[in-house]
Amino acid sequence: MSRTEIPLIEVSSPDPRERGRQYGEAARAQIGLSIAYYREGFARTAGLSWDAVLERVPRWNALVEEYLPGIVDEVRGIAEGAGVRTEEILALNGRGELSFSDPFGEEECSSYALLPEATGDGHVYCGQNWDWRADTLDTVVMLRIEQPPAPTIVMQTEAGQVGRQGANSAGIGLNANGLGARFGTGLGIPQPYIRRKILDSPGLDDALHAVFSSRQSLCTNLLVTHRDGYAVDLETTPGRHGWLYPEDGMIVHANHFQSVVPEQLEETYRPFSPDSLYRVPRIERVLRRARDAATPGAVRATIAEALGDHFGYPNSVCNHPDERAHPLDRTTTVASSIVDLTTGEYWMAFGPPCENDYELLPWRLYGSDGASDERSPSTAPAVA
Amino acid sequence: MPPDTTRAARPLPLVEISGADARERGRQYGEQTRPLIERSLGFYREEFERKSGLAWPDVVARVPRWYPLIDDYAPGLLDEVRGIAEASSRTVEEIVALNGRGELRTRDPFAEASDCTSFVVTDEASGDGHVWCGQNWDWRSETAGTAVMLRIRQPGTPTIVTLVEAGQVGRHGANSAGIALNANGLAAPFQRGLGIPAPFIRRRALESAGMDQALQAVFTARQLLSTNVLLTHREGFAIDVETTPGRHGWAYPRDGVYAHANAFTTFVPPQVAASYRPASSDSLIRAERVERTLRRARETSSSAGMHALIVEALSDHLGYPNSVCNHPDPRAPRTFETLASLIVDLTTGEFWVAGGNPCTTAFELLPWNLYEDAEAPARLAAGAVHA
Repeated sequence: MSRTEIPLIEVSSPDPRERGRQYGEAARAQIGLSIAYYREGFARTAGLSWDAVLERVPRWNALVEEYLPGIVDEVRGIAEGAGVRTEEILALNGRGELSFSDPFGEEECSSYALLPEATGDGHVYCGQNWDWRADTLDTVVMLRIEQPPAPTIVMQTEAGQVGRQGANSAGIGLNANGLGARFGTGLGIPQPYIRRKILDSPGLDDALHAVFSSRQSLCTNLLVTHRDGYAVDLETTPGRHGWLYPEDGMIVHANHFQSVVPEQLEETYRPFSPDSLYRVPRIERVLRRARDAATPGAVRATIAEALGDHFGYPNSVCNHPDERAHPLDRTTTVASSIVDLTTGEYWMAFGPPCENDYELLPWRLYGSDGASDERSPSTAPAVA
Repeated sequence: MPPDTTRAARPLPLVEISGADARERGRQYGEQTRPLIERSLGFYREEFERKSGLAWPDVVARVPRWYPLIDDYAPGLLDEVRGIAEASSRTVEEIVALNGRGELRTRDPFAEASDCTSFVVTDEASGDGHVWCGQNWDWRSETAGTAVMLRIRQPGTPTIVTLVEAGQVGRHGANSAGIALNANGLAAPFQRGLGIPAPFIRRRALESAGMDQALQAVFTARQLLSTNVLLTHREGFAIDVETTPGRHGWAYPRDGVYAHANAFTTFVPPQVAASYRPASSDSLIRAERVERTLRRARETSSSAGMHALIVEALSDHLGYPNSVCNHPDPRAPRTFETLASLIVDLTTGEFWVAGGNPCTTAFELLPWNLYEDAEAPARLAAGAVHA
């Protein structure tokens, strides 16, 4: 079975520029790969030269800085640390928003949240399969951001991006799925900044405020879970947002609107990825058994079974490259996560979960002070 | 009054075609169905003129406008149609018109509703743990005798068993990958222009090796008509898709049971939201009645018991003659009736057909098991299943 090494990157500083430099230095190789992939991708599918892309990106600066103060400095630091241009890091963070029709399509992901009433061990879990271009597999990193006084974040992301999917030391988990529609006009805040602001949140109120105060150009599903046994799924659009609560302690979401079809799309809406229509019930069917799993190990095994499902292969929950697609357009599950928000354990499989074991990251979400002592093995969950 | 319950044999003709060459498959099809195609054309020629207001020569002249759409959506399938035309001594346009009969009947303000009632019972609800699906196919009485059971074997593609009106490339059926398609008209045309005729969409869905392909066939089609498509997979997954020229709606079985007739139930398309009323009001009786009977599925203890329960559901006469088991309404100017009834056990691959009203017609087991073609590809889990 293929095993992909999980690249772990830790940054720590109250100063955004310094955090960025640490990130850029540590992820220099992956950032280089990522720039090469998107440079070619923009040219091939959008006919946009990399120079043209870099000319367009600075127009986001004011919008982004107003929404998430300090983040532009972090981006500059990443560029410095990686030895690339600031505009290149801005482009990696805006790769979905750079042209009206995303030349890279949408991420086909399957997310879940399980609350205590749905788990035999009474823990709160969240996570997802993140399905993206097979060629970007080597650009994915696990990033831990210690940024006092804001919460410490653990997340999986494409190298150079400031936010994607993860959880924080305040017990907030974030999972995300593309919804494949766009109807906004004008400039919108790129997704990585919105997601980072959610993960920067010390409280649920801040997290929801980050979602509902953003001006965006894409439709994206954001599943927000809290360790106190709360989850809400937010179908965000440039206009109205829809939302869903768990049923029997469970939410599963993939890539179609489940709560409301936006008025702007109501006459013509069809899911961009119809396999989303079976991925949700397939996962639900397995996760319903999580309440019979008495131990965290048994719950994780149930989640792993759900995320390894091959119904509709290769366009299955556990996603594999479809040989019928163009080589550069083939997708695969690049990372699969199981986050135990109760204990703070963060389990990751890199690559399709049918072939890769979930490994416990050396970072606990929760520690007494968020310092490096979190890395020492701890048996007792620290619940604040 | 409902007729008596003695069930008589009324088998549909069986037609088998095979081969990698579409034209050759079409020739086999046309040779075996020549008189039925002639009879069908006799009916539709007059029907189209009445419905569309188009004289037959005009219909034939315009049909080729569909070709690029069909070719783009289902490459190679027009060659099969050409083969059918050759061997049945008809023109290609005539055979395409048979496949576009739904689309060619849409402009009549006096159009009668066409009825059908589909169902699924998954392993979650069935007493024998099998996955069952099927439907009553209700259509114009005059077309009786033109339907056949068609088995299509193409190397590299799942083998299909489908009910069709002779000359059509796909209608209601199932395949060797364990995927079944049942369909019901939704009678709400709200778009003008060219759309891919339904038989091509259904054929592409039935050629699918996996549910991903079947859904892609349904969700990428640009169509003129609104049609309900119930897709079932032998692994216990089923989804009902209310397809329209614009947005599609969908729903899943509730506790393993689902039935659908001819009314929108998952959503009402915004294009008709202000005024929508089901064309066939008895739809509101039929879906409910079938579901109600099938909810007893878990009390059955054998496959024979499941089969009998399904026959009971499909033979229901509430609202007679516009009931689930549909009979000609003597008050109507043109009559409809259940011309065929299908029951598929997707777990075992057994396919039963009654060539008339299920209240009086015996269900006969087809001599073709869906899964007897061992090498037919079922694109199931290729990698290891995670423990």
